[in-house]
Amino acid sequence: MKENKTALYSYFSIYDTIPLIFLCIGIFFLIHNKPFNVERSAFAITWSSILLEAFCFMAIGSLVSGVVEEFLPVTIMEKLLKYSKYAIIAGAAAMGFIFPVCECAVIPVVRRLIKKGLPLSAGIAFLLAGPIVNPVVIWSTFVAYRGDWYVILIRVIFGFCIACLAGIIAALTFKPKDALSINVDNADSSGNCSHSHCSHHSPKISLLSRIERVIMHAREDFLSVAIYLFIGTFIASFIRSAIPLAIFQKFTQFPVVSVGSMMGLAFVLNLCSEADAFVAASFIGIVPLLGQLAFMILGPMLDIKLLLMYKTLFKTRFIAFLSSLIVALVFTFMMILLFLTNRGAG
Amino acid sequence: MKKLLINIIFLAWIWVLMGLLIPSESGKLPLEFFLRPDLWWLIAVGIIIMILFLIVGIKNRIMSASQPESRLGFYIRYGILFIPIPFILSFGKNYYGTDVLSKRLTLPEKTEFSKTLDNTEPDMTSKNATELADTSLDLKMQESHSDDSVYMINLLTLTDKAEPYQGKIVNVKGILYKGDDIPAGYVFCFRYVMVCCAADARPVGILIKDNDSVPIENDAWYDVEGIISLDSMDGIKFIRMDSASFQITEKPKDYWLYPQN
Repeated sequence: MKENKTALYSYFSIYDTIPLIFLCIGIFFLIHNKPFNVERSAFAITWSSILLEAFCFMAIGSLVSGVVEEFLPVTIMEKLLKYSKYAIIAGAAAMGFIFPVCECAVIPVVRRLIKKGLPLSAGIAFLLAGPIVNPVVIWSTFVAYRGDWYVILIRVIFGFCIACLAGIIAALTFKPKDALSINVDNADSSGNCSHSHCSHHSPKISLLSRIERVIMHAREDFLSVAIYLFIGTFIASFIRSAIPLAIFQKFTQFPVVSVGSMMGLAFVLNLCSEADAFVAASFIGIVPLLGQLAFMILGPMLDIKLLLMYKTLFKTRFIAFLSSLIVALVFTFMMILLFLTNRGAG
Repeated sequence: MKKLLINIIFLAWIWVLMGLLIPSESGKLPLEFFLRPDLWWLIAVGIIIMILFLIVGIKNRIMSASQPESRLGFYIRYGILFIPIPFILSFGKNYYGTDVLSKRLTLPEKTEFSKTLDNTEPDMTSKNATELADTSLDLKMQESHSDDSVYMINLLTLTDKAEPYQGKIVNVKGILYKGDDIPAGYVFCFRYVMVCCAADARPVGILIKDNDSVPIENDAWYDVEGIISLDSMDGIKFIRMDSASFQITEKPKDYWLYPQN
C-alpha cells in the first residue's frame, strides 16, 4: 500500500496542484472569449506586455546572477562581512547605483548573492531598494514629475530607509534558515557550488569555460524564477483587466485614505519601477501627492507578481511577514511625511 | 525527454521574440503592439540570452537543478511556460477598445462632472457654431472664426497643452465612446497613451458635445473636427469640443501615443 502511494507521488505530488490549476486556467483563457467576464483581447495584450518586458529583464538579471556566481570570489564577501552590520545593509541598499535593476531582475541577483554569503538583512535591503535607488528610476521620476526634486528625493530617501529598516527588522525576527527557501549551504566555504557541472576556482579553467558556466548558472536561475513570474503576471493581468481604476479613485480624496488606496493600486497594477512614475504622475490633481509617493515606493517592493517570485527566495511564512512589514513601513513613513509637511496632502 | 522539453521552451521563446522584431508589411514592428518601439533592444538582448541558454543546454545536456519531485509535476510546471505564446502570437487581432476604457478611466464623480458642465454652458445644445461665436464669453472663441486654419494635432498634445488651442478649430483622430459613464449629451473621444508597455496604457481624451446628427459606433475610429474650449471643476481642467463634425476613418498606423517624444 505504502509502495503504491510512493509510486503515485513519483508521478504527482501535492505541490503540483497549484501549477496544474494554473495550467488549466491558462488553457481555459485560450479557448474562451470572455473568461470570468474579462475581455480576452484586453487580457492578452496586458499579459503579453507585462510578461515580455519582465521576461527580458529577468533574463538579464539571471545573467548578472550567473556572473556573480562565477566571478565574485567568496573572499570579497568575507571581507565585506568584517564591516559593521549596518554599513553592509546601507551599502546593499545603495547597490542599485552599481546594478541598476528593476524588481524582476533583482530577484535572481539577490538569490545568488545570498547563496554567496550576503547576510539576509543586506539581501532584503538590496531586494527592496535596488528597484528604487537606481539612476534609471531616478531619471524616469525626474522626467515624469518634470524635475520636481522634492518628489525624487522623498522617493529615493524613503525607499532607501524603508528597505534598510525592513532588512534589519526581518533579520532580527527570523533566522536565515527559517526565512530562506534556498539552500545557502549550496556554496561551501570555498565557494564551490554543488552542481556537477561546476568546479570553481580551478586555476586551469579557461575564460571561455567560465563564461559557459556563467550561462549555465543563469539558465538555472531563469528556469527557477520564470514559472513564478508567469503565474504572477497572469494573476496581475487578470486583476488589471477586471477591476476598474475608479474603485481605487473613490478612496483617494483624503491624504490618509489615499495612501492606503494607492498602495492597493500599486499592488494590483504590477508596474515596472522604471515606468511607474509616469502612471503616478497621471494622478496629479486627482490624488494627493502623498498617495502618489506611496504608489511609487510600495510598487517596486511589493506586488502580485513579486509576491509569487519571492517564493523562489523565501519561505511562505517569511513572505507574509515581509509583506506586512513593507506595507506597515511605507504607511508609517507616509504618515510621518504628512505630519512633518503639508505638501503631500495637496 | 525532459531535457528536450526545456530546450524546446527556449527554442519557442527565441522564435516568438524574433517574430516581434520582424517588421510587418506596414513597416511596423509587431513589438509595438505591446511595448514602446524604442525598447527593441530589450527584446534583442532577451533573444541573445535565450540563444545562449539553448546552446549551453544542448552542449552540456544539463537539467535545471530545481526540478519538481514528481514526473508529472515537471511537465505541468514547464508546460506553463508555453501558455503565453498563443496570446502573444495573436497580436494584430487584439486591441484596447472601449471595453478597457471603463477599467482605466480616471474621472471625477459622474454627478459632479455633469453638473459642472451643465452649469457652465446652459444653452449650448440649442446653438450652432456661429451663434456661439457671437455670444461667447470667451474672446478667443471669437478669434477662431477669423482664423480658418484647422489644427491637425493628436489627443495627447491637445490634452497636455490645451490653452493655445482654446477657441481654435482642431482636428483629432480617436475612438469614440458613448456610454452611461460619460455625461449625457457628450461623447468621449480618446486614444491610449503608452509609457513603457501596454499594461500602463491609459486613455486620454476630450468630451465632445454630441449633436446626435451622426450615429456613433463605439470602438470605431473617427476624425473629429470642432472648436476647443476649456472647462474646470475643483482645479481640474476639462477639454471640450463644440460644433464637432465626425467622419469615420481607418485605424491609425501608430495605435498608441507616446509621451516625451
